[in-house]
Amino acid sequence: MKHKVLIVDDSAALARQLQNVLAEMDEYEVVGSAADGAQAIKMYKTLNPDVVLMDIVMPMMDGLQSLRTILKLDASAKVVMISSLGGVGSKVEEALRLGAQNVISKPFDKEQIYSVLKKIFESDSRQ
Amino acid sequence: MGIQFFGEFLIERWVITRDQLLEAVELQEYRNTRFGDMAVEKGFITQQQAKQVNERQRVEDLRFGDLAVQMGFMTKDQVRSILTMQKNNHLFLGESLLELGHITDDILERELEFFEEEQKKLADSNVPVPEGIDGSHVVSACMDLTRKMFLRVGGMIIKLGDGHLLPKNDNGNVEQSSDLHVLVSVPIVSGVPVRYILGVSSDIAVQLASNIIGQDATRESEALVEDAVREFCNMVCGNVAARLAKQGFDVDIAPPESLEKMPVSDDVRVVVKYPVRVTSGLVDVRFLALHAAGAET
Repeated sequence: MKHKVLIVDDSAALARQLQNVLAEMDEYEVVGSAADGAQAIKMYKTLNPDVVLMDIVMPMMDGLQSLRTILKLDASAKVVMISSLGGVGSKVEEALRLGAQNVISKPFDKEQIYSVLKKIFESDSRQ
Repeated sequence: MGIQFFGEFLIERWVITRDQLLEAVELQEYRNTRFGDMAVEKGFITQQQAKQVNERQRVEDLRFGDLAVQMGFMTKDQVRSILTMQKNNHLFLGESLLELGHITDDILERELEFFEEEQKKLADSNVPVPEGIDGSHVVSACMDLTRKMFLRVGGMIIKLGDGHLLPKNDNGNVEQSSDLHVLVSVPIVSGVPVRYILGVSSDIAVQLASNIIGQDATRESEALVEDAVREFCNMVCGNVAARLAKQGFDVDIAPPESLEKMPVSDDVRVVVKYPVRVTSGLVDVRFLALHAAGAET
């Protein structure tokens, strides 16, 4: 069975890039794409994805606020943040403290996405 | 891969877990004394003076020591001695992970080698900035990373000329500006505000979009192509923030926005323009900065 992925990014170009990368992988199916944090929460409730790929900096509701709410709704939610704002001690560190599984820095290669998702589900199957 | 801290690199590669990283960072925070605290501890400045320097740092993007000298609280020799003490006693992340038993010597050595190899691609090279503008460190980092990201993300080589200040109310090449199909601006704050402005012709915009989305963008909507250019600017400026954070600067960026036309120099703002050469198409990079701190862009 394919793992369901929810993409959250205010950039339509970035969302398309992620969709294209995931389309090359048999194990994943993109079930939805949200353009901000608030929409992501609504879609999380209805689509119940296995993993969320979410940008940190977004208008309306940013990725950190959305991450907090999603983890309140589902403490076992798997959320991977995507950011160009590298730097532990900043929003990246905050995302990890809040409970994000990992952070991928932009610009990314498709191999980075493959490897992070693979490890998330590998560690999940070991538990 | 963008500019990263070593810890992010390690968790992205799953060499360590998120919790191990956070534990190691906590140990670093506990052991590594901040400049101001160390200066107070050594009796070079008072608590009150340290507080004044911290307050000043909110409006002036200088390191604690440089500001303390400027404010007459410390001598340059005292700053040097604190920096030496910090350097000698600093606990690096790798050492912290080793001490906590989260990594072994050989893995640390291997990962540091990979990390340095990866980060070399985006290593800092200085781009000269004309004198007389606030936030020159931001401008220099933006230009360097614009060049590198055009290659890394857009697959294009661009050549930069010398940056220069545009005369007051001069658009700096009006006929070229009209050929710029997409104009994007990103506000950056590092002490003083600076605006990064990128203009590209339609062929360059489509090429950037094609490379970002991973498919030919020729038939994609104008909105998607424009969005891709905004995202490109976001990557440039996000990586600028990451690079400057590594150098000890506190930098914040706002989401990119599209512009109708290029801004001009006026009484309080200056425009710095960098001539850019590309094999085909048009690229224009400018910065809107301040003559004097305190004015708004």
